[in-house]
Amino acid sequence: MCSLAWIARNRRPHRYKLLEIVTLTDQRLQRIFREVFDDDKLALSNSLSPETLAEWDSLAQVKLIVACEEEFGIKFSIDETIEIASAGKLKEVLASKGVGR
Amino acid sequence: MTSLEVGLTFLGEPPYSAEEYAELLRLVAFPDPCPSADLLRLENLAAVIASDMQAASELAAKLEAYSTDRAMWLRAGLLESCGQTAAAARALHLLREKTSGEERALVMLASARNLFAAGLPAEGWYPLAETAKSSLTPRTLKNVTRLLTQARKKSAPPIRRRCRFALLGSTTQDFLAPILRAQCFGAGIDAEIYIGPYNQYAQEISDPESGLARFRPDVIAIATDWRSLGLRDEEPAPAEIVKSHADRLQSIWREARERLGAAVIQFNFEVPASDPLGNLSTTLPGGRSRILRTLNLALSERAAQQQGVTILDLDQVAARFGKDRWSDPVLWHTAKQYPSAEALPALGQQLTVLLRAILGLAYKCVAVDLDGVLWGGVIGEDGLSGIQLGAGPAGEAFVEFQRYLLSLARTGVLLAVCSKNNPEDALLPFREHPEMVLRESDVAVFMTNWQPKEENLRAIAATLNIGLDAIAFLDDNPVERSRVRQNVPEVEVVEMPSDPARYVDTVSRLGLFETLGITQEDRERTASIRANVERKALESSASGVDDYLRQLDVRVELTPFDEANLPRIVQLINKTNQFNLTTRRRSDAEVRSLGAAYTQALRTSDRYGDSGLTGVLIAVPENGGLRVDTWLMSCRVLGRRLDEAMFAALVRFAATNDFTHITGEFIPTAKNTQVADLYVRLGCIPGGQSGESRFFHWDTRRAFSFPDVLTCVDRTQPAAASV
Repeated sequence: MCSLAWIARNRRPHRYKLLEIVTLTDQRLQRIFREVFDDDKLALSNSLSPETLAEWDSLAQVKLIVACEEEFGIKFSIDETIEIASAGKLKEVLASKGVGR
Repeated sequence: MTSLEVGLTFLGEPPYSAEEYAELLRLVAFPDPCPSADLLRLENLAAVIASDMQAASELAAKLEAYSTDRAMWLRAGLLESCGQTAAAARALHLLREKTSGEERALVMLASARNLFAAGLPAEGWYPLAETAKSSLTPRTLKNVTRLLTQARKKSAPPIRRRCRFALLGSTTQDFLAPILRAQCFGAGIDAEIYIGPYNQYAQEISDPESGLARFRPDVIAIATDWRSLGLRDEEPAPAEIVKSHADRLQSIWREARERLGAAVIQFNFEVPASDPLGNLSTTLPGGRSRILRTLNLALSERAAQQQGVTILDLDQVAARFGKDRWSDPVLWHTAKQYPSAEALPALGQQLTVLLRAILGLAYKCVAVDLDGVLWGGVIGEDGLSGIQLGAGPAGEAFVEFQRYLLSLARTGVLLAVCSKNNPEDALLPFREHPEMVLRESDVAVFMTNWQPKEENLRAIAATLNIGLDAIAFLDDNPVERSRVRQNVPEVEVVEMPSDPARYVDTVSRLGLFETLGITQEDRERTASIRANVERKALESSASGVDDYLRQLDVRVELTPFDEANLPRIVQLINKTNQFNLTTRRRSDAEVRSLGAAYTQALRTSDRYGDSGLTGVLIAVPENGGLRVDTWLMSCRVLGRRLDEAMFAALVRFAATNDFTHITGEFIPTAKNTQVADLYVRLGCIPGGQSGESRFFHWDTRRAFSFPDVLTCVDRTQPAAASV
């Protein structure tokens, strides 16, 4: 899967985007956040965290983890589940597992 | 990897150039099947494309020309993302009945979502319920619950029963609750779910001030897990430890029954696959595996003795799911979540099955097609020797499925045949094929003709005197299934696999016919229903009701309640709908503690057979008279003036025991309108109303005679007498 993605990226010259357009991974993550926090208007941004989102408690944290595991077909370690303290950090950890690269 | 996945990977992410859009169109025009992962891929892609509305609507317009699953689905996704929900719902309508399994769930969910968003809530409930029935994916089921919660603010969902359901246990229940709620909705149950504080189930049940007590649950699930027992790998005193755990749980059940009057579902214990002693753990007297297995047996034995307590065989659910995936150690250590998230739908499904049985919503009849379901081939064309049945791999699969159906029939599920065939062709294998397991006498009703199946299903419901919502329909032909779903949505249509070898698994997995116990009446039900069909033939030839009853030679025996007949009485109290004056559901303990002054159980037989215990009447003392608290009769014996015999015995008892009057009570429900005027027909005087109850009065100075066309034995009087 990763090698296919690599081929796909290198098949054509990289296209520079003038505006920040939502990527597929962002779209999938945004849906997860909307479902977990039961808010269909929620906009994904890297700064979302337990500090900026009142509903992000320990239960919501586990719900996010579980939903990501289901959506992306991956498993988090205990350390990673503790590490994920913002949407940005979540994206980093996902990227380290080959999601969205 | 599907062709779509490969294609989309090469295509990369939007925004797309004109050539790339052309390539995308070529990809989705491909008529390959579209598995659920591909559906999700296209759904996400549609949302990203729609960040450019212009591009999205142009693509949607182009897609209109394509009729592949992929193209229709992508178009619906684009329309939804552009806010054109009504158009999206129309696009999905065509796709709905083409799919099965998780794909069906995703299409149905999108259909429901768009219908609700388009302001058509009444049409959204059906696809939403179908989503809940089709899916075993946590996320899809959670989305059902989200949508259900949002949509019911605007419109009332169709439900068969409400239930206040408490989830208590030694593990986290927050993840199970939304999934369970969706699955209950799929089964027609509107479940309000209470989640007890973590690992405090014993305190919650015994504390009269607890959140649980305030919640007033109808049903309590006690979700214990093997870790909470704190067993060592090898226990020095195995018998004592098993007994102490069984005693502890049993006393919790008793408290739950007595304090809260709730039905109890107790989880038994998974025997975990990882054990330091390995196989030895099952042979060492104190081995953990062995103790858990012994404890599970002990719990089953104790539950069998206690009315209102049911065991959920968690070890079996875990084994069927696969024990390696059943537990997620990370989730356990971080959130005390057990089992794993992906296993929750399998667990919720079993809970729903038991809940359906407790609420009396289990299916009563299985209606089967013949060709392709009971045997391979077509009897009308291939003939007796040409059909596949027995001898050979495919033929054996059909034999095994017939054995499964026969076992169902022996536990009281009515077997009906619903097939497009000439009647004489259809009967031939039942009568003459040596490998046939099912015989004519195992089938309660045959509907073999060339009429549409929905009409035959209605006829089956009428003949058996059951609701359409009590029938499950098995047919190998997807066109017939789709037709039945559209025309009689009340009937449960099972998505049969294409391979007959999978029939038993597919049907048993759904747990449609699960019951809490089997009585003698259940075992003899098919014979008694067949006799009923013959009675109907007699009825149509007789001149008037009394002539018919005389020819039928109806015998009635009325007895007080006793230990032997109480289980059947409790069963009738909890499932009779039509001839039921007050529809008060009561457990065994509640019946015993009612303080009844007079109890009556009716047994009846006639020249075609014994119908068994089919009527119940309970009267309690009130103001010097008797109030009829409960009066019901099984619908199989209606129209025989048995109600008059029951009332006559009641009047006689009241008069000879110095009760001045009898108060009849009627509480209307959706199903008991046929007895709304029963007391008036008997000659009682209407006398007041309170809440939903309407009351009727009978002065015991007036006598009421037994119908002379019946032969009655009344053993309910203090000095037994015959009339």
